[in-house]
Amino acid sequence: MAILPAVLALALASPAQPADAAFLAFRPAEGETFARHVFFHRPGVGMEEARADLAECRSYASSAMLWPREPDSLPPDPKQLPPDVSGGPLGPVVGGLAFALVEGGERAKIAAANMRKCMGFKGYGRYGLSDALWKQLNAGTPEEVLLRQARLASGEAPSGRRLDP
Amino acid sequence: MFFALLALLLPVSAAAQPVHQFRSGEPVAIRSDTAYLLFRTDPRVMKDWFEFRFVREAGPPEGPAAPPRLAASHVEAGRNVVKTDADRVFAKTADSRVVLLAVPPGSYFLAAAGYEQLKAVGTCLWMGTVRFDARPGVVTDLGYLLASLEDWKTAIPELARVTNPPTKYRTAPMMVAVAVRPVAAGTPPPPGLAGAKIVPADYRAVGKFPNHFRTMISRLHPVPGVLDYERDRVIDVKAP
Repeated sequence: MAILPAVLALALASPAQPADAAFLAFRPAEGETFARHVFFHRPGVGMEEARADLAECRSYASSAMLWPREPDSLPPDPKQLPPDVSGGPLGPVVGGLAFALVEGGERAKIAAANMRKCMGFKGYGRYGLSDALWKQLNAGTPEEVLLRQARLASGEAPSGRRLDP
Repeated sequence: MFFALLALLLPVSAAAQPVHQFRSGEPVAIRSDTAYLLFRTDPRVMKDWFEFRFVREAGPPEGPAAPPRLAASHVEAGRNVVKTDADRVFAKTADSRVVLLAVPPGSYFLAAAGYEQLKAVGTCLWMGTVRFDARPGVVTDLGYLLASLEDWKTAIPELARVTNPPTKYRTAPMMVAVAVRPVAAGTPPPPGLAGAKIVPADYRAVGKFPNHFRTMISRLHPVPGVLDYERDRVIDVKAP
């Protein structure tokens, strides 16, 4: 078990890797906007701070639900979680599976919005990615993704256009 | 069940008065055991369907820009969420829609803003907001609460340069931007409250806290002299 912190420390200390070049070099077309497929970067931030920032913002993003009902307890009672109207108002009509397809996309949008807000407040710039690069960025375990994003956030300045906050 | 029983034993919850939002023309008899919240929205620059959520804290704040103190009992804490009804307006003037609420006394923070069509919480101000004391027997004047959809252009001066980004959020419950404009000195009392003791809210900054409502998150626009930010660090401007 003692080896785990050592591996983590090594990963945190590792400089930008060759695979990062593709993310850093991506240049979106003029006028193209990106709500979801992005990575973050802030000049001068250290890898460890970037990792902590990304982890904090991820906690805001991943906890969001599509139709959080009025809370009848705060903090939410773990026995009553999730405080979500399953399937939303149309759940019983549309059916769970159909709603799950819609809900998945909508929740992803909300998660992306929370991530964008949180990282924006922390002063990070947003940089667009193609679908293929986005998939590449998010491949692997959550910890691997976090480390990859932190390495990008704290590494070399991207050559692509900085998007609106 | 445990928490329900606990709530019954807690004197704070037993003493709590039910929340009431006054209708237009409804007489107001100020009670000495009840606090009153007064705020305005501005019909000239914002839609009339925005609603707000206040949460009563479990105790006084633990320092400048401290995160809110929430009740240990879930059931009790749930009672501390105060939601406003966009359709229930106490008074209207040329430049305001006035909302008046009777609430249990205590320290409150502005927790979220949504809109009536949503039937859900809305956007929560988990990354920075304001708190204020609501004293018994007194009307606490919160000034203007201003809101716009993030994806829309707005004429609200505080938010005009914040909303309507080139990249829209396009979330299904729409993201809301919120600003507070404390009441200006010399503002006349709204009709129907001429005899009441009205005091301006003494706003203080609230530090960021977890996504308890599991909603979209944002933060309150900076309030001059009260709330500011250094990146994501909340600054209590009034702190010595």
